Amino acid sequence: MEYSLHENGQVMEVAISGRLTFADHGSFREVVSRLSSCSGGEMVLDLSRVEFIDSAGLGMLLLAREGAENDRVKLTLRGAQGQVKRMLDVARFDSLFILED
Amino acid sequence: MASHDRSAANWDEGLSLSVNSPTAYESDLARQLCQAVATRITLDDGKRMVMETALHEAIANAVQHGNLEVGSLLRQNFEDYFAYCAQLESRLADPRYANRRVHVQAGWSDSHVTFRVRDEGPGFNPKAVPPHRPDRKSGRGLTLILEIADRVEFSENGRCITMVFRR
Repeated sequence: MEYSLHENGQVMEVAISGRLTFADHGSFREVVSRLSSCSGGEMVLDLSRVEFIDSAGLGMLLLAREGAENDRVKLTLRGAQGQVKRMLDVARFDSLFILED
Repeated sequence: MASHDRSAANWDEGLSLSVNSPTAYESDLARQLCQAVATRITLDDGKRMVMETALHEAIANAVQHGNLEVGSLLRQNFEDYFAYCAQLESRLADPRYANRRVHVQAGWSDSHVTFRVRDEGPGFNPKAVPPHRPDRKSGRGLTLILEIADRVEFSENGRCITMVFRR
C-alpha cells in the first residue's frame, strides 16, 4: 500500500492506494500513528484507490477505529468499491464505522 | 460401481510453487497464481476474485501463523499492535522461521478449481478456532475462507488446507 496525507480544514484526509494486506502492517502503523496528531479531531480514510483488501487489512481498519476512539477522533471510511466494498459488507463494517460513498 | 468425483483436480496438469516465507510475505502470490490459472481455463472475474481472496487468506495464515509462528492475539488491541509488527519483522529476519517454505498448488477439473496451501510450521487444530465477531481485529481469515469456498479440508495436523471452488 501507499498513502498520502492532506489537511482539508479540520479534517485530515489519508488517501490509501494499492493493496491493503497482511504485508502492510509497517506502512499502516504509520497511518495509525498520525491519529494522535489529528488536531482537528477528524480523519477520513479514502479507500477509493484500494484495489484489494484482506482480513488483516480489515483488522488494521479496526485498530485505527480503536486508536481514533482513544484520541477522540471521528474516523470515516470513504469511497470503497469493488472487492474492498464487498469485504466491508461481509465484515458488517456498516455497524462499526461511518461509511461514505 | 465407484462414483466419479467430478470436483477432483488433475494435479498433473495444474500449477505449483514453493517459496520461502519472506517471498510469500512480499509477493502477491494469490493474484499471480489466479491470473495464471485464468489463462489456462475459463473463469469470470467475479469467480476469480473469490478464489484470489480465499487463496490470499490461506497463504497469509500459512506465513504468519504457520511458518513464522506469530500469534494473532497481539492484533487484538491498539497497544499490542506495535509489538505484533515488531515480532513479525523479527521473525521474517530470523532464518529459523524465514527459511520455512509455503507450498501452493492449483489444479482443476471440468467443474471445479482446487487450491492447496501447505506450511512448515507446528500445525494447529482448526476445530479450536473460536467463532468470529465483527469487532474482532484478527482471526477472521479462516472464517472468510469457510464462507466463500465451496469446500474446505484440513490435513497434516492443520498444516495443509485444501479449498475447492465450483467453476
